[in-house]
Amino acid sequence: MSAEYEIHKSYIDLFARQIDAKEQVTCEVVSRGDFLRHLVRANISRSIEALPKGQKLWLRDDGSGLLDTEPYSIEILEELDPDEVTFIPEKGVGVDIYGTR
Amino acid sequence: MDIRDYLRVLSKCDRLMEIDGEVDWNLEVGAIQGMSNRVAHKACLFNNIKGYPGWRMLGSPWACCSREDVWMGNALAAGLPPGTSRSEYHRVIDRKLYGSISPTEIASADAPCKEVIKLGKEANLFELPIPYLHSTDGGRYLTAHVILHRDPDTGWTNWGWYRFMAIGPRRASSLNVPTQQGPAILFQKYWARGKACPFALAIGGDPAIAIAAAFGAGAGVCEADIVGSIRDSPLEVVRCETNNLLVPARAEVVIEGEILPGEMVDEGPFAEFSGFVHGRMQNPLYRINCITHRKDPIMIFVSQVGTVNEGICVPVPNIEADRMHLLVEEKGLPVRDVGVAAEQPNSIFVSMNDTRQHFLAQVAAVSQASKLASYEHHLWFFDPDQDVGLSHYALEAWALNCDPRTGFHISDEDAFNNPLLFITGLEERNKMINAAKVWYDCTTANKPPELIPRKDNFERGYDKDIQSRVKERWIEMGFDVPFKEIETV
Repeated sequence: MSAEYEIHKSYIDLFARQIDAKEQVTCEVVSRGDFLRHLVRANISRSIEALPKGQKLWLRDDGSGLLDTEPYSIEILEELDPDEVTFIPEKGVGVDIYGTR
Repeated sequence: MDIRDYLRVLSKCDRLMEIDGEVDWNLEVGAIQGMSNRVAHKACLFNNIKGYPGWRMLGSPWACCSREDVWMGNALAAGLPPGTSRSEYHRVIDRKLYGSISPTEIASADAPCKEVIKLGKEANLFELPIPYLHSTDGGRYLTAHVILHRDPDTGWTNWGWYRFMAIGPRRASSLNVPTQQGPAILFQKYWARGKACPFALAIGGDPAIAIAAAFGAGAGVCEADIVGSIRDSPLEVVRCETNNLLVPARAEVVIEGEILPGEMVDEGPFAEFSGFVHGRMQNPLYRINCITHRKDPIMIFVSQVGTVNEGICVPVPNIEADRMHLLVEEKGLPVRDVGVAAEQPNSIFVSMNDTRQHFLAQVAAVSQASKLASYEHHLWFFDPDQDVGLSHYALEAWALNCDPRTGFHISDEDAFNNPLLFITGLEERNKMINAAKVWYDCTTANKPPELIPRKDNFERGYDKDIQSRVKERWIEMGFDVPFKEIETV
């Protein structure tokens, strides 16, 4: 897996409580090297300094597509197979044009 | 004709740039092609892709044109000669878009797209040089292809052109606007029965596939039949490995899979053809079961940067021809010509043979209710002698003739809102409601004669003798650009 990752802002907001409580989260991140989406179990911090052994996690705005200038930090503990994990549509936060949530 | 034959046509017309130095699929090819679209009006064939030996990439093969000859990529792809005029393209394509020649199925062994077959876990989207095109995109996108979905009730197969985002080795998503007939309406029929919707995606093959896929054909019309009509011979197709869909046999790459009921993922953002970033949405998860391709495949993509891109130059000439067909041949309305703004295709220019207001209102009612009207918010009416092929001429007439007090007519205040256009706020776009439609009376019909300015230009301001003399001596005088006349009535 590559050294830097990205995640969408409104998506990471779903995990705000776990991040602030320093709990592990299971979420999807995109590697910046090849843009492959990974489902991972990870520790996430809002700053590099608070999780120095982590890798950079850039936040992408859902609307404009721009990346924030200050990355979070992510320590990936385990990569999960998305086909082995039941997909939960409620995890998604993009505009729900079909009304499936 | 396939994309390789088309490359030879582009090369012969000096509309192809071949690049042998190594380029990166990650932003670099998109940036090069974007600048080429802006200044060189050439497709780029990249022969050396970083990390992908054996692959080539082809950028914007239909956008090898400028604002002034926006139909030229379509014309060449349709087999018409270089220099085909706008009106000649309309005359030919209008007949062909409504024709039908069914495709012919050939054996897999004879299909170039089956030279390499990767099934199940061997299939991996990330083994293809799918470009990361813009730094604001949420991922790598396929942008030059058709996606096939079949109606489970009628057997009709729709071939449409929708952005396709690679998420994982065998996972992808595609922007499906719920009211689009192809993917959204069809896969929801499968889902309602608890079944997976099979799909196939084909990159390459006959370049006229793009013309047919971007045309907006009616429900029940298979775009493969239109390709046959454009070519005057059946398109060769071959059966997929994992479902019964028939794909172009001479495609470069074919991706097969299914959309399982209820599986949605976040898709986007993506910098769209209109020049703006379209945000993240929930769209169906496309699961990949098989990838087949040629031994020396060409990955085709389109650059959305710059005014002239495939989102404009492929549909615009067809919208013009289609709208003329609808208004004149089907409805018998007194329309002389239809043009679509290359700057933003939500603006349609109509010159009228009869400029009385009730005809303008009638044309607006018909035009703004037509199949592609979700992209049409501004409709402009002009005198019969107005050149509607170029926006700046039309805008000049609008500025001169459209009375701000009486010339603006809101025809619909609560129309369907296309999420890819940006004329309303985000919430309204996402709900796809509250898009207004307006028409502008830029004719001189209802004005007192003394208020109508005399139009003057080269063709009107000089008599034929002077015009001929200038034309005859043009090259002799040393000008290195061709003499150019514009059509007037």
